[in-house]
Amino acid sequence: MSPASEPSSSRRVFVVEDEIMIRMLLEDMLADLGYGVAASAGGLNEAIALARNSDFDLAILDVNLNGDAVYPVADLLMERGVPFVFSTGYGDRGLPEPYRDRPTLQKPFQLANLENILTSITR
Amino acid sequence: MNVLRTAEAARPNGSNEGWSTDERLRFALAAGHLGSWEFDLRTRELLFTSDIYKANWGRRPDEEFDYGILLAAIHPDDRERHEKAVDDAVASDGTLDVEYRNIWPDGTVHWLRVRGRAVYDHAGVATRMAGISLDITDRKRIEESLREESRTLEILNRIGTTLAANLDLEDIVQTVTDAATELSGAQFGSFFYNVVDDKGERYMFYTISGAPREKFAQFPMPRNTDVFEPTFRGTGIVRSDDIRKDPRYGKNAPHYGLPKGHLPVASYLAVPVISRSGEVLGGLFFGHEKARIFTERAERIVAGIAAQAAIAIDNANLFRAAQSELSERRRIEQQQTLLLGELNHRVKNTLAIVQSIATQTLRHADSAEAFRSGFEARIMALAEAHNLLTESNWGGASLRDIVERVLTPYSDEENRRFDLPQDDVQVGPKAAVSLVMAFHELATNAAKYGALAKPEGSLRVDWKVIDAADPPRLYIRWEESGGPAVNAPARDGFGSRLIRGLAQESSGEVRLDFAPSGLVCTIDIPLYGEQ
Repeated sequence: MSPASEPSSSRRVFVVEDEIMIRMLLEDMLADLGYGVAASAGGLNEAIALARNSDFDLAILDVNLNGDAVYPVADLLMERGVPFVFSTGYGDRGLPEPYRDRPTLQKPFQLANLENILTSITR
Repeated sequence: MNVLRTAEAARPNGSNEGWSTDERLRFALAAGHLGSWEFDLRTRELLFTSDIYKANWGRRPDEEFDYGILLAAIHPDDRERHEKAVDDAVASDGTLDVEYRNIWPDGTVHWLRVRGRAVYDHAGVATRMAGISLDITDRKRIEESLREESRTLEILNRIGTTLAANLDLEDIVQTVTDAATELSGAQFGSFFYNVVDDKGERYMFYTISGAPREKFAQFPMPRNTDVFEPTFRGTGIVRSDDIRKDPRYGKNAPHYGLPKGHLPVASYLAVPVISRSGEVLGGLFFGHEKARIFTERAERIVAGIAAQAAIAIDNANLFRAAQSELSERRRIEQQQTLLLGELNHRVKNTLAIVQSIATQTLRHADSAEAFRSGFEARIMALAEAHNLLTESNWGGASLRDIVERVLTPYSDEENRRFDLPQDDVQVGPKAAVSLVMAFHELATNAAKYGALAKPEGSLRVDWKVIDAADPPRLYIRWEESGGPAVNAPARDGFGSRLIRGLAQESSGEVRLDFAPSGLVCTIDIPLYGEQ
């Protein structure tokens, strides 16, 4: 899935997060771990458009986007076969059935944990 | 005594000698009020009828009475039974024992028990039949009232069980209406009752028994007219042999009596149903087109049913109230769980924001002191954003409040350095946090390097809503002048990234123009963010 135009061999991430400062944090942490950010979105419609049309290797999806559930984006990614991880501030509260087994990042983020989860879903 | 005197009088010659067989028989028949008769089976004629026998048929001793009259006097429903009983007796052992009704010349109905025995000739052919008769009307009446009593008890018992086990109001009122209509002997009955709905409003509903509901659908609900008032006010039972002759009847407009097309009512019985609390729950109403239908007994029975109904309705209402309180409690608990989840989400997001501020402040800080002061200022700005949102119950914030709060530390007494537009704009909670932080970064930068670093510097903040756009857009312009000459920074810091990040919400546009005369920042974003 890595676009040919990208010279680096680093994996490229699609970040969906409605809070600007948290998006900035993820971008920095991803850079620190050697990942590139392919695209980022803060709202559901924008995220759906980008999930359809842009190239990336994996995605981080904030579960709640300004009150909208991110699941339509997750469905698109499952269709495309792109690995992804949810991020959430809701703690261990269960995700709906089709996503129950997806790995989940808890806010605030731990760098080592982020690295492990990203490695595990792209292995 | 009478009987004895009659028997004495019958004694021949007043002698004290022993009675003849005939005398003994007559005495026994008179003492037992038994009539005697004899019938010719071949000619089908009555050969003999005693005075008591004729009295059993409502006839005086001197009145004519033959078999044709007898047959005509038997109740039409029982005539066949009588004739069959005679035929059966002849065909079997000759013994007749039958009960039937007869109708007296005055129209009253009486019950007779007739016993007889056939007499056979030498060839074994039945020629005659003789026997006795007894008026059993009183016994039949007692039997009937016993049957009636046990049927009443059975129905009362049945509705008692049904009501005690039932918490469904509609079921209760229908059961009560049906039972009371049946037991009162009414042609039709109804139960008008008050209902309080979920919103606390009162309505009157009704059930019907004994007539199709359509017969009543066209009529309005009964009002507190003179006839209905004692029932709806709960002041007492109204029982009338003919309500049309009641002085209270027909006094009220617009119908003056029954509405046109109503089923005819002569006999009328109405019993209020009163709660333990004294509240009138409704009324039971019964009607019959004939006069003098409702007895005192019917009134007592219906009053008893009304008392049971009141208890059942009280229970149903209590149950309903308990149910709605339970569901309300469940709703509140669910809401609490939801709120707790939401709170957790918000706190965790805020912690991630603090994490973001900390790591990025650290990235750009030259010293521990620079980190400490920069971090502290940003956390204070974030806290200020939360204060603003708490005031609006996290519904959003006014743009004027946002800018004024951020600029407060930099204003002098006359506020002359800042020029803000008159119009105000409300922004959503997420945008409010981002804008507080963005303005905080712009203000901090201006205080260090820009217009707020020099007394003669000035700052102009302008905003407007472009309603014509779809969706409406918010346009903000931050313009500094009079400060030191501006140089564009070598790389984006926290503030620049944050401001540029605002544009990332669907098709926003942000420009940071580091003009030598002063920084100009324009932010053009959808007013409501993405839905």
